[in-house]
Amino acid sequence: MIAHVQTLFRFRELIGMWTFREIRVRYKQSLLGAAWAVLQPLAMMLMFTVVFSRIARIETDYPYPIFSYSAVLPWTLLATSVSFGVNSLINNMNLVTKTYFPREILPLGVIGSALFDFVVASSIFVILMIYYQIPVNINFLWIPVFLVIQIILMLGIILLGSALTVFYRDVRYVVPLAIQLWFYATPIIYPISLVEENLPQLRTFYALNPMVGIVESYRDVILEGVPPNFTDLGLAAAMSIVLFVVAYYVFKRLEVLFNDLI
Amino acid sequence: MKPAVRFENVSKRYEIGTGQTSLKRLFKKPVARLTGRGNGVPESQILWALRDVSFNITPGKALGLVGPNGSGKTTSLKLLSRITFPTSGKVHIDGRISALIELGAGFHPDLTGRENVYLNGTILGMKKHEIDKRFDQMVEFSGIARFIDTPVKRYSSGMYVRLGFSVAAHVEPDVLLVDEVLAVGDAQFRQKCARRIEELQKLGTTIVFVAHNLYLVRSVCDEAVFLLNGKVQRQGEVNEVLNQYENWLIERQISEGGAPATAMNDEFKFSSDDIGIREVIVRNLNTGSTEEFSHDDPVEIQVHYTAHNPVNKPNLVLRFARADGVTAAMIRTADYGLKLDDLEGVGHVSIKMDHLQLATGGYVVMVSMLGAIDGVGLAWGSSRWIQVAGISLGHEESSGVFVPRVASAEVRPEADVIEMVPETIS
Repeated sequence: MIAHVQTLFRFRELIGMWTFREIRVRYKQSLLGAAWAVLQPLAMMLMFTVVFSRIARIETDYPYPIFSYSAVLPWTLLATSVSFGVNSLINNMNLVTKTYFPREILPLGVIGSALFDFVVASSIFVILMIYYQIPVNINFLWIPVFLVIQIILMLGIILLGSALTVFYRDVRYVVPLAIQLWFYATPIIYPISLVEENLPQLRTFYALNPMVGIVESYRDVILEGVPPNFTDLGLAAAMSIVLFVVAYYVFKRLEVLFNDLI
Repeated sequence: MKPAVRFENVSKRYEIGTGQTSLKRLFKKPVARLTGRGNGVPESQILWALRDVSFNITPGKALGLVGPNGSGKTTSLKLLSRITFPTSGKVHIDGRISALIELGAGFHPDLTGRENVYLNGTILGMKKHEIDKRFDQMVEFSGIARFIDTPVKRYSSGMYVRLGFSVAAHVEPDVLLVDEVLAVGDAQFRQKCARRIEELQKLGTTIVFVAHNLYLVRSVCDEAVFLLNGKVQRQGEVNEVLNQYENWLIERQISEGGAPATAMNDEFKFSSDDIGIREVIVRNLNTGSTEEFSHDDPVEIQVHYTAHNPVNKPNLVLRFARADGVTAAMIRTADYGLKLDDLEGVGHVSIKMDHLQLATGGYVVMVSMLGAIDGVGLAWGSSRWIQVAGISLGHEESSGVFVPRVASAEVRPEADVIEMVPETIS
């Protein structure tokens, strides 16, 4: 593992270059360019606000737009990374079969460009905070921790998913479905308090979903101004790390076979 | 000195099949792979591209990989460039490696030439400041400065490859892998490429060279490995190995009848009603040998004929063909102002050269006899393979091709020998 990290370090410039490439290629020849990074989560947030606070009337402690957007942001980061990431190896077949570099750079670049989108889309969040007069507080310092946990989680999923896609193209059909189901298993459109009220017996099981801890932590820190729930966040971190270690091991073991099969 | 490249008992196995995965093997296969045990693929679907191949290269030396198609040359390069991994054995390389194999492989069509130079350069292991430093040089080398800010999808395939070569050639690697890429582009660009390889060689780059052009291999490489069916047939000093490879090529030509580039030897035989060529003998006038020559030996080429009808002052065309089919030299007696006598009965035409001039390699002399006025083919035949040893060449593929000088040509009827002096000596 250490040797792999050392190799990656030697290729650090390529990671940056590849991230840059992913961003360039994504928005090249699109009229709105990087504005898409904002439009996607913004549209989701507006739709959720109409459907779940006007039509279905889900009770939340905070205005629905900022309540949902605080979860839509990390969720979009995950959904974009994973859906692009699992295809990153087979989409760059010509590179993988013809040049050498640590293959995990391809998934890393996808995550890098999704992070770029995340930062761009966060600008809307700042506007919402000003509009709803949410004060900045000391607990904001936790945010980098949430981000790191989420990156580890995404890396785990993408490394495993992209390696398996090389062998079984079924994975690319499984992923969109899984993301959709996962969306409902995460407190994005509803508050976690509803789960505690209506399905208390499933609460612990529910928190095994690492995104629960991550999304809740954002809300705790930003909206409530309190430190995150360490049980849920710790569980998310543990799940993410275990997944990542297993995924990286599998990825490296399968890596030697990519070219003979892709 | 510690070798720059080590290939230790390397074997590479491929599974040839439809690429379909049955549900039964869906779980069995990855598990078997992860645990490193065999995965029950039937023997008929297994292809050993390389078997137990070992070789070392000292830093700064150049090694040529030769062998027919399917012998494992490309697989070796892929293993060296870490694009694929050996089934067993070890591949070890010291330092930065660059490959002139698939030029422009890392290019993204939507990005501009400039962006791709940076991306590709980084993939090849260059740092950004190194690319900055060499950027202008690379663009100039490629000759597409005008289009450097155009997306490469609008490039022609030639521009694409040229830019790819420029980037790969300016990496200044410790080890350079060269496939038959020199066959791309126009003659001028090919020469530029050859010169760049020469430059890198002078800078002390270790080179692994794969080419079908054996003359290029001879000029670039110090050592060679002859691969056959994934196994090392012979390795060592370049000329020794290439001689053996050429002999093998020649034997294969003979056994298969046809030839990769030209019909040679036994195939090259034709007699008309008037005349036939019995034999063509190339003789070393220094040693008397008819097989071994050195670059500047004086030689005599005897074209033995049997004429059923008298043939009026024919024109002889002598072609010195290399194993790869390239004509290294050609003598047309008419062009040389060598007037031959009428041919009658049995005899031979003797053509003498003060210096053979041929570069190192195997050659066959193919003789066509043409009618004096109408140029109609009367007969043809060829010599046995001769081996020439001696000089090294430049890197251009035309190296070793020259205009020969002939000292004399005369007809010697076997009954009564009449000497004939040529009118001009070119």
